[in-house]
Amino acid sequence: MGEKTIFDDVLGKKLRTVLARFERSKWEGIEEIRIRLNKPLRIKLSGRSCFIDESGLESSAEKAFIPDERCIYETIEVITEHSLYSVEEELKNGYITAKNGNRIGVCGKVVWDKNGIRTIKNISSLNIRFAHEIKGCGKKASEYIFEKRKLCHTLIVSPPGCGKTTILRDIIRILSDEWGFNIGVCDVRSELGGNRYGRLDLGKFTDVLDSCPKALGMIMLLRSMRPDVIAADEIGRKKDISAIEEVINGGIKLICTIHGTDIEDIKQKPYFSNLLEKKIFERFIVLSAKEKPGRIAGIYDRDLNLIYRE
Amino acid sequence: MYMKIIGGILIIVSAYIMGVYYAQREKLKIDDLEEIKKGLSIVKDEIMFLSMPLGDAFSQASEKVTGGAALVFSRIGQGIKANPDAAIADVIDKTLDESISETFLKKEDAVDLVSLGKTMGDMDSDHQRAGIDMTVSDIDGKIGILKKKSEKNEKMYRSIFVLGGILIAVVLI
Repeated sequence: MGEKTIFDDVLGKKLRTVLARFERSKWEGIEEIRIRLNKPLRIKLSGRSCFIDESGLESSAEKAFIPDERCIYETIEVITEHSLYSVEEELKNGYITAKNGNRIGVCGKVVWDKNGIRTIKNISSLNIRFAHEIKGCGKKASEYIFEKRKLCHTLIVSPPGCGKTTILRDIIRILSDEWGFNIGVCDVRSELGGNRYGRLDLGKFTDVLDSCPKALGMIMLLRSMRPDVIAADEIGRKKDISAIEEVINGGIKLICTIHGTDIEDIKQKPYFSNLLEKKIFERFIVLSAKEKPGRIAGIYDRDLNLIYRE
Repeated sequence: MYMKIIGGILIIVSAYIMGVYYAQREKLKIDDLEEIKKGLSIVKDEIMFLSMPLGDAFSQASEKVTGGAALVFSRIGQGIKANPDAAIADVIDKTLDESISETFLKKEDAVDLVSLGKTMGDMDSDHQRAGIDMTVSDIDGKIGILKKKSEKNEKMYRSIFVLGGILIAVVLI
């Protein structure tokens, strides 16, 4: 048996062979692998996109490796461990969570019935997004989320792919391990804590409610585990906002992330402006992918005054 | 003379025991099939209620069945997990080649598992359930035939071996 690679749990045999030839020192920088049926194989490497040829070398689109139906089938088999039924519910939402919290976006033919989406068949595109665990990346941000030694309700604002989940994961770990907070994590897609086959470190005093809808999960954590802090990724729906209000009324601190380019952007989000007007969040950490993913573009207080910039 | 009588009795008793053993082998075969059936029901529950991946479902089932079937299920579970690129039917086929001798079955008795493997993995849970139900029903059919055969053969084996024993004893005396 060959040496274990980061591609073992997310790629089928053929694609794994191609990517395993890619320069090993750059593996850690791979953020995404985009596999499209009969289209060039493309990866996102440290913030830039490039094509990969059959020898695992960077190439032009014309010379890139072209995945066929077999490549996609093999990859699905590996990701689902030959058990497509085990990811039925995720597939209805257009993604599959693989080992270690890696998330795979799926496109193909959507099958509908009277109850909504049944499944996706004839899968034609996969976007494999690697979950990165970078211990220490949330250290700086965590220094600014306290006021008079009291933890603040914190919102991490970031466009997709700028590292908000990675920073949230590390902040949770720091608050748990270094500050001793009991933290309840509502992890809808197993991205924060990974799944049972590969756990990511969320600290010693953290309880994870895995694969549970956010709004429901936050209330469940509030009532069942009575944590000091509740953390959730990618809030923004109407139900999430009511859950946030209930959590805050329950005296629990909240750390969440939201998609957005900056504070002005989230002000435009439906349901969210009301929360901002009430000044419920006491800290806003805005991330940007400029220079490198996870760069702190600014940390703001409840009155939106800038208190830190990287 | 006493020695001859004792020897003759020993031969007849041994022949009777062999007859019982042969008759019992069919029953043990039935027991193995019953355990495979039970294991498949557990795999079905793991799939339907816990969305457990196949490798884990077989491993879980192996802990709840007994005899050679436990070994077969355990090795299928390990095989699926260790060979992500192999087809499920191939893993089951290979496992049966390696492990069937640990049971009272022959490979053809358990070949339904290989057929099931061909339908496993790339379908939704309803189809998985239907596939397992069909296999269980096939195994039930085999058990029914074996039971009838066993009842018929039990008397036959005992009679043949006892008569054979008596014949040998008479010839020797």
